[in-house]
Amino acid sequence: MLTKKKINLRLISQILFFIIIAAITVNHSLAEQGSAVEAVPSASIHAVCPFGGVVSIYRFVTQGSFVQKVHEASFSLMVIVFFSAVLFGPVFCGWVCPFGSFQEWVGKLGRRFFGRRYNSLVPRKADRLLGYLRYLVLVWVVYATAVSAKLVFSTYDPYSALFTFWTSEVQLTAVAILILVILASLFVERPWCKYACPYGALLGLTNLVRPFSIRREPSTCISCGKCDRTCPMNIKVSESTNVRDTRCISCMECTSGSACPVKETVELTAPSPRRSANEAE
Amino acid sequence: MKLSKTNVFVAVLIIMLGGVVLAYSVGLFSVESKKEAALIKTGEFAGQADPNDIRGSYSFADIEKNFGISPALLAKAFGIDAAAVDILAYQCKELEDKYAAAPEEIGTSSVRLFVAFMIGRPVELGPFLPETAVRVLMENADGLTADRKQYLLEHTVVIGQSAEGAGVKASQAEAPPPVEEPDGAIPKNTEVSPANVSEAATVEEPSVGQGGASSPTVEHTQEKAVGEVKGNTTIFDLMSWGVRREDIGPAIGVELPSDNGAKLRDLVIAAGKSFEDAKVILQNLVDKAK
Repeated sequence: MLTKKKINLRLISQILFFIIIAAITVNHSLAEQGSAVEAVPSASIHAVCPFGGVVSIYRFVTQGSFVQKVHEASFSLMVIVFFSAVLFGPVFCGWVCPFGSFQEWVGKLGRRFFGRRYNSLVPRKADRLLGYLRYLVLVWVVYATAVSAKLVFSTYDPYSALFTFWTSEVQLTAVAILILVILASLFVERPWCKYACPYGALLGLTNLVRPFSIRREPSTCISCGKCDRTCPMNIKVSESTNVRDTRCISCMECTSGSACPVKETVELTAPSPRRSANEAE
Repeated sequence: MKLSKTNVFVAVLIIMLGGVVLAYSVGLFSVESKKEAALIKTGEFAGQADPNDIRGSYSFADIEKNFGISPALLAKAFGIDAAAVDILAYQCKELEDKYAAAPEEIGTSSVRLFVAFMIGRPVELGPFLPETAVRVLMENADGLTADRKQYLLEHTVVIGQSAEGAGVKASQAEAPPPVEEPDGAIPKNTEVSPANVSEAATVEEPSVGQGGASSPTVEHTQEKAVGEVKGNTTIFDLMSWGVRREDIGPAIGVELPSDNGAKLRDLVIAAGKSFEDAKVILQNLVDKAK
């Protein structure tokens, strides 16, 4: 009997946004050489990066202009992404960000080599401590950009390098970091997102307040641990009833219907009176 | 209320793509700079365009729009052949490629400095300018202060028009012909005879960079070679090579200071003249004195 294969909607979303960003940036390179494809939009990678809006806030407030290479679109994207994050958490990271998707795809190779040991090679304590690094990166980037009024992060940004490595615009440091991230992705899932991404750090804070969050129903949970093993961000979903971990990227891989084998046990929900009571207990 | 993956998928598409369409439709999704420099907030120049805000994507036409400096003058300052490229569309960031071989970076920050010095506005100091730009400033910038003139003298990159030393060594008629490298380059330290000057110049002729702008070779070597006039050659050096002091000033049209340690390049540039031209004259003096 043929089983009906589920359509992976998250993968479709990731591929869609990866293609959109790749097409826009490649066409930008072509435009600089005078051979752009008219039907495709063209913009630099910085112009379509919502984090550019974040690092530009200080300059925008104090001087009414943007940091170099950052434009209005970055600001608008920043607002759009914040809106989605306040509702659903960092869905941008889990469903949209092309660099997160890229790491996941490279990680599939690593999973073939290491099997179930993949993404569990870093000791849990070290993994948690390293997770705070991205907040240091965030503070440094915002401060350095405010002081210099330059997009200092572009020198180190592997996301930018991924979409500009064929141009003269690319920075060697960024390429080196990109290569490191690719290698690390063979051992650890989404290493950049986990340990260094300043934007992920910022969006992750919305996990503390968002109304729709990943909730586990203890009364039906069979403690199989599949949710823990599936989580790309190494969150122990099985140890909480309401996942408020700042590393959650709302990918929903742990939920019932994906990894969780029991119906209505791990779900993305708004708080209900019954669940709220359970959580309070 | 629970959300399935399908719900989230649809929500993501609506929020992201819908948000972009909405922002675009109300004119809040520009992916390019409007090319309007920020205004200076405080001080004497409050309300005027700030040269510090010039971006790499600014074309020379944008500079003219914001600061009133003509593209032709900018092209002259930065050694761009106006006949070969569209100077209106020439972007500041293209200078980085043009002067990629320069010992100091010449790019957008150099344009900021040039513009600020030209119109007398404050600017972040530090960038270097090519000799041609310094000359344009000396000739055209009204009210260039003594401090700024001094700054320019200390932040000038001398650009050669041909291979390193070729212009200098061209006068050495007794030199043997060059041995051509497999890739066509003239090996270093090879003497170039007059007959081969054009060949030598052709070999390292300014390459055509982005937009067809020529890329002059840049003089890197600053160490003093005996008998070879360079950017750091002083009056004393020339005298030690046998040139009479009284012959130097008239030859290059510059009044010499009493300090024999003064660099000839600085004197020539301060007088608003081309050091490249002066260098050839001075080298002839040195060669005759040998």
